[in-house]
Amino acid sequence: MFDSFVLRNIRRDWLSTIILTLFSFVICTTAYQFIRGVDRITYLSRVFFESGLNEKVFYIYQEDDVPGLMSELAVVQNLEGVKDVEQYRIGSLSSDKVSCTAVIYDTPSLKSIRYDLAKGSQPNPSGTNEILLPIEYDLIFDVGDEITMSFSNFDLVFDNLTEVRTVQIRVAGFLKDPNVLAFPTSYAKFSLGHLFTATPNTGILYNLVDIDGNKAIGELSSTLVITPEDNYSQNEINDALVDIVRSKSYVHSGEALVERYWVENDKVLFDIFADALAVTFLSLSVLLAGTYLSLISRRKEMSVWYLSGIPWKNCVQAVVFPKFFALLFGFSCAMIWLYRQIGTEINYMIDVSFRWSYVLITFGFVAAVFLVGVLPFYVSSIRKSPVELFRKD
Amino acid sequence: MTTYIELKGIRKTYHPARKVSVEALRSVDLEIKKGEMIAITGVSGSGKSTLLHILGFLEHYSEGSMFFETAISHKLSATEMAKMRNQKIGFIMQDFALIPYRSAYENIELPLIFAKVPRKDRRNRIRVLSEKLGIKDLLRRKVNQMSGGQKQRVAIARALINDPELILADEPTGALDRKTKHDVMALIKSIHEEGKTIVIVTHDPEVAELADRQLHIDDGTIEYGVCKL
Ligand SMILES: Nc1ncnc2c1ncn2[C@@H]1O[C@H](COP(=O)(O)OP(=O)(O)O)[C@@H](O)[C@H]1O
Ligand SMILES: [Mg+2]
Repeated sequence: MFDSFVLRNIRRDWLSTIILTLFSFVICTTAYQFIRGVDRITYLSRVFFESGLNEKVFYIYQEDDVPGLMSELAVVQNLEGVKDVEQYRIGSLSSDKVSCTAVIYDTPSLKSIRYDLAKGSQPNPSGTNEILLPIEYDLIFDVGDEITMSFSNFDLVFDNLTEVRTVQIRVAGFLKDPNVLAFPTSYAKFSLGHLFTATPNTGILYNLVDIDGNKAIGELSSTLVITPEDNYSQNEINDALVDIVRSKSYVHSGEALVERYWVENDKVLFDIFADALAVTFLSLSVLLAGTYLSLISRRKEMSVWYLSGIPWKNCVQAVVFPKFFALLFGFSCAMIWLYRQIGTEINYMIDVSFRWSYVLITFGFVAAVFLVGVLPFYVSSIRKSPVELFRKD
Repeated sequence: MTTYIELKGIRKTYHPARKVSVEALRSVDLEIKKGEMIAITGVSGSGKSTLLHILGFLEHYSEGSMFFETAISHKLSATEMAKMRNQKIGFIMQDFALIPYRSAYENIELPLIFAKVPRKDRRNRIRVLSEKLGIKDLLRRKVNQMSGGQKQRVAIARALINDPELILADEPTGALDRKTKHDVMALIKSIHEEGKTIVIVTHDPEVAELADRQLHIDDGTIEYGVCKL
């Protein structure tokens, strides 16, 4: 019955409930964007560290010349202190329905990269032909689908290897984020953000073999992932490489990549936090002022309720609880709105991804703001006796 | 007449923990019989309202003992106090204690809502009572568009709607002119004649005259009682 009295008040006070619902909608979508922003910025460095790439040295050969690449590879491999050099391979997959660029990871360091998945699971490192597809392909395929496709080199550098082979691949999962280690774009101030790039229609394939059981070859990447020997530091290797390779300014230690990434993104992250702080304070002031005003302006009404037979606490709650209802309502609308944005592109750049973890954190954040904004005057009102209002002389 | 309400050695102290504690009531003894009409007079600040608030379960007393059909602890829970206010007491206040921007109907309806009376019954009871009090035409009107006398009639309807046995009135005519004062007093008198117990706080000797018994409070103690009969 008391709950229905609160509901009655929500109905009576519909205008302020609507305003607060809108307010809550805005706060929730903003908080959601902030959380997503922070997650996106920290995502690459998380992937980098979790897969141990921060301990490697990267060399991106700049010329488009395969014999040159092979001789550079030999030079790097023979350098003292280099334990291992890994390259991935690139080819294209196509069937009558779809096509996709396949980045083939065969070696241990590459197979230890853990991209966030939207669906499915990581491919089996010792299995063959398991692919992680970009999320768009979710519309066409399901996890576990076996697809027969033809495979050919990504481009026709090796004339003798242009033959097309039939392969059967299995969908292991779908990538949440389009940024993968495939086609680094080269800059002098190269950072993590340039190492992982968003390339359309690019999937990650482990250990590709054709239907006859032969290892399928693709074009070798010009990115070399170099593991130093245990007693060599990545900086020693880095410095030694700079002296001997042709594209000198494209040798990078993993540490330097992370460092430059944070130099680039510190300001962005700082801005996000500054905006979040501003929004938090703004919402707190709105809520504090709103709660205070409604408790003051309805004090008379509350005292009449008290006189008519409900405890004072319930009187205060009947005024304050509609605010939490508005929070819930605004939150739900915001999440539904964001959910419906899945897959739409804004400015060709931001794909709106919807994640339940963001939803939870958003709710926690906004609920905390509402509590801090509403509780002080709620508590002080409950403590104040309504009886003084009936003492007139 | 049987004992209905009995106060013994009732004290009310505000801010007992602080230095500036106020003794609003000091040792009040009072017996009220069912169906009685009592007037309480006294200068401003003498504790009249405080006494009425304790009788009406608006506030706890600090010390003493209270009997209201049964023994009443000074630690009664907020919910039990609310239930007593809702079921047993009707309040008539000097400032009417109505929600100004709501209609008379909505104001009168409140005690019924809190008593969980179904909507249809609420409507019937309000209709019957408003006819009796002559405020049927006012039901849809907002309280802030009414005259003082009209407001007090609506307030009386709100006080009576749950059919309480005890009516507590704190300066019910204090904000009214002479003519409306007489109308309202006649109404209160007729309620008394129907058998309700009434305690009325007033400055006005004319109003006090109507009571069966007058009490005078001075500085938190009852000085003397005048029995009319
Ligand atoms: N909340 C309170 N805190 C402190 N003192 C109070 C409070 N309420 C009333 N008083 C004091 O109690 C005394 C009695 O007040 P009240 O019962 O309202 O008097 P009356 O109705 O006879 O004018 C007064 O001295 C008043 O100042
Ligand atoms: Mg008073």
